[in-house]
Amino acid sequence: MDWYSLEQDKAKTIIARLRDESLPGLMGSRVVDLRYAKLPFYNRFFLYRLTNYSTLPAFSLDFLGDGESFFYLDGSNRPFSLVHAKEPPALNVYTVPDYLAFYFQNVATDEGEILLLRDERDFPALRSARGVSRADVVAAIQQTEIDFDSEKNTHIVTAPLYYDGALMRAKIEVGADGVPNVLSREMLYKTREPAQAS
Amino acid sequence: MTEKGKKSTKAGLQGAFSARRGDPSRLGLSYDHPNESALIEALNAILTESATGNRLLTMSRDYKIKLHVVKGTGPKGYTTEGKTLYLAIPPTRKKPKPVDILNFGAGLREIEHEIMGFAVPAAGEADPIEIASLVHAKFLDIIVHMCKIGREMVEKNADKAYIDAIEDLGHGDIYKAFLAEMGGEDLAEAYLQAE
Repeated sequence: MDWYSLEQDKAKTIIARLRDESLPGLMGSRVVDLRYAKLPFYNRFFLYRLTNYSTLPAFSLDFLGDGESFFYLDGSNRPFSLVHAKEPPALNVYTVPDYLAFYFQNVATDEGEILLLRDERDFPALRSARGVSRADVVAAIQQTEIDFDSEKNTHIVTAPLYYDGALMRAKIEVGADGVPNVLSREMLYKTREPAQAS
Repeated sequence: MTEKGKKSTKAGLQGAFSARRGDPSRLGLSYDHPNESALIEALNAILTESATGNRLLTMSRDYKIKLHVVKGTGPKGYTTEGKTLYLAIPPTRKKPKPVDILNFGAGLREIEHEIMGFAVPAAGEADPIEIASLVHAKFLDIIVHMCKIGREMVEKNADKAYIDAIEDLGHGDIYKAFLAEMGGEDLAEAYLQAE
């Protein structure tokens, strides 16, 4: 993703807008930087990243914004719903994998963290994973399939997911509303024993 | 650990009654976690089970460190400002996961650095190489504290979920070096390879 800096005055205005007076340190009064990036599946909305470099590692808050309205990516589906009420996602065979990866990265499900893999670097624990090699992951990514159901106006993406310590092949449906639905999951590699419930 | 509790005494009316938060332009800008109180209680209770965590909690009580839980995602789930620690946890989560406990411990250690005077100078206040060395030394120390907490929790509960969380944070190799009781240089080497 290519990140761009904003003009200083514009950045200051937006940071002031995003800041919450009751949580002064969250936006780091010391070392804060605001950048933005173009997302291939939105025309008006951009991804804004506010980074606080005062701690290690640097802490970031992400927002979807069109310059007027800003929605904090808080881990729920809500910011996506609010954005899609203003601009539905432009989904096609080229943009839908990026959209799904972005969505899963920013929406925590009840089942835990799901990562859609488009690149081996998307797999956070590959170096220490057992029972799966880098070549296995690359091969799984290369088998990604994207279909479009014109009657239902939905895309069906079959792609590898990293979920709960396992590499899975999943079939995911996403319609014009941008809410994904995992239709099926098949275990490819178990990279570690399941953790006990905690 | 002090809960955020009565922040209204300091900052006036907050939440749904705040004029600023009632502003329609702030519709999507709420950071408050719906389960903050329950999460803070559980974070304190669980971290106490680790000797390292318990020591950090004692320090946090002594120095009256405040904790805020805000909504958010991502592995780098904490930041600090002075004696306040902010932990980002997904809004649907009602009980902390091991990664949250590890981030809690890491954030407390970060604040302890500040208290000890182990701070990174601002850009321009020191030689860039010296700043980079300090940054890496601090970060490695924080990761090692995560490893200590993780190992103590595994020993206490026979639950390897903490090891999985350390691996998911990308610190698996440092954890292995830590378990092998490698010295500073070997740990630093593992850190450089991983980061």
